[in-house]
Amino acid sequence: MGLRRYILRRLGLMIIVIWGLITITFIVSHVIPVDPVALWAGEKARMQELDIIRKRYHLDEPLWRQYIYFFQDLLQGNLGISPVTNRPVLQDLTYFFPATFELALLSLIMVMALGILFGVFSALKRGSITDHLLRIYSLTGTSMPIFWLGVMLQFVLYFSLDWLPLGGRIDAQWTRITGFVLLDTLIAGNLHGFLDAFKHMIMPAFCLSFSSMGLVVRITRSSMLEVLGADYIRTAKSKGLPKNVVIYKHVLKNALIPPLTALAWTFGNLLQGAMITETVFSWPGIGNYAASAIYTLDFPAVMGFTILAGISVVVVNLITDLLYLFIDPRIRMLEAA
Amino acid sequence: MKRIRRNVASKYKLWRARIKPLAKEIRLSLYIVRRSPVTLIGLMIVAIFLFITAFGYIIAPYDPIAQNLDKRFQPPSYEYIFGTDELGRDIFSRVLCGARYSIQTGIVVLAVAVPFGAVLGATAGYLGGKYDEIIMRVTDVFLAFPGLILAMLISAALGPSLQNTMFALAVVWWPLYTRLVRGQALSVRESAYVEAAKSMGASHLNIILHHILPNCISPVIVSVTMDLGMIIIWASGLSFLGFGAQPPLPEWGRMITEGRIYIFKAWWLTAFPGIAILFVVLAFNLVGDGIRDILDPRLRRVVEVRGK
Repeated sequence: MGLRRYILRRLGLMIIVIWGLITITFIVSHVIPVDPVALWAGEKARMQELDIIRKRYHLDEPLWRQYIYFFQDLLQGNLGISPVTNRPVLQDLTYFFPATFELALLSLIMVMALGILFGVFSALKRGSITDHLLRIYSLTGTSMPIFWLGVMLQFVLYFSLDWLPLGGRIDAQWTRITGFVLLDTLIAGNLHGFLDAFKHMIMPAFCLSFSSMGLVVRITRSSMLEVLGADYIRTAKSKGLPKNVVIYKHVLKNALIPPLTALAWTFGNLLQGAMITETVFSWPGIGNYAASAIYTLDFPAVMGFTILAGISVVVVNLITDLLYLFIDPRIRMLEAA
Repeated sequence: MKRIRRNVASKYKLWRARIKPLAKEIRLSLYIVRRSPVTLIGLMIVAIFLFITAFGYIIAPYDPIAQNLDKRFQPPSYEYIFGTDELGRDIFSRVLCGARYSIQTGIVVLAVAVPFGAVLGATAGYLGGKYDEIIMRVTDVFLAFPGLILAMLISAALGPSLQNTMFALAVVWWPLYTRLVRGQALSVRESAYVEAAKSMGASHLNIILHHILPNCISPVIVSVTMDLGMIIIWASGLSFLGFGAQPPLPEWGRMITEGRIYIFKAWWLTAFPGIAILFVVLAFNLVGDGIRDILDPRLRRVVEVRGK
């Protein structure tokens, strides 16, 4: 009974958070000292043209009324029309979304799989050279300015060694079916295109996962060490259980909960990193789209992106919390109480 | 006369009794720091960095913004250790002078965000009930925001400049401290000394300022050290994206953006400012790690037992 109430409460809170997020975005983008209209219309625009744009975006009306218009549109699933590209924002976002999703998914898999693997390994081989190297990596990872890493990777891997392409998603011909380039080239049986797309993805994915992976290694390592030192592990060992059984059945099961909670954090981090990484590698995703929209003060586009990003972060947070509840009975008891 | 002397002596004794545990604490802290060479390295880099921050403009061999078009794109050499950029400016001097902007941003952001967040957090945790509910829901909204996006949005709306970046980062950072301090305050609230202060008729404000906040401080210190590095990365990231510091200011992130155009012609324009960022942030992280070890009571006990 407590559990259901907990979930309901979390859902209610989620709606409040999303509303707050949208409102803050609205306020920031509407109470600004610069007039975006002149920027949107171009330098040669006449006064009448400016007035038309102002009318179209309700910029001549009081703020509270703009807010109501905005919410009315939003509830109908309409994010407005970008004054810069002259296309509906939702259409733009859905067009650019697959590129980001593909990149982020690959990075997320790398972060979680390799990060946890390295962390476990580091803890089991505590004090070895590999352990020291991994610890140095995990500290460097969180201290790395990834835009710089991206530029330097381009210099070494593209310019000096010529192993990987400079940027973009694919050089070969491909037909857009789902928008996921790896999937589309596979469906079309285009092996050359698939390899080409994969090559394009290596540098950005590495760059994007670099810092998050460092943190996952670190969390996994310390959580492993804590569990390895626990009394119940000593009991299991002294019972004479084989080492592998102790590690798989007793240590890993308990030690992997903290890294799992890092999942939500990683997701948010990847989303933000996407803006920087995509700018560096001219990756045609929503991060790149949002970054350029912010330059041109294209507020419908910026708000669309913020709302999308915010909602996905909130939802992922909720899912991880529930997952956490599901895996660890101790927390379930605590929340229910 | 005698009485005065006795008075002084007793005062000294009192002072010694008060200082003794503190001195012991400090000795133990130094002992823990000494045992970890990594923390020492971090401290050393931070010290060098602070020195450069203070005296960068004085020790720089060249003027960081003076152009010398005869000496464009000089590779690193004895004369120009880090080479020169597209306008013939000495990169080494620019990196030295740029240290100031990074640390300045970090300190200003934290000086605004930490007190603000901490007071809100302490209030929420101590008062509880509807105050807690209201403060934490607002905090949740800010925490749900992808921070970089909010910072970019604010920087873009206010116009690109270093001050606006600082403001934007402060807006992004305070909720972290609200959450941190609230968690601490929840447990401090139940302690006997808060009970005692309450029963003596201390006001809420008094209790929050003198009892709750000082006892929430240790995780905040660790967090501040680590966040200093984080803010330096974020500020340079914003500069890289075109917000933040504007040319010709020798800000590190900005230097990377400007150098990036010539990366295939002159890698040193981009490489050195980036290495500077990496080292400084790494140093703050190492020190933060070390401080956490010092403040962690579990580890402390172990060391204390072993030290004897």
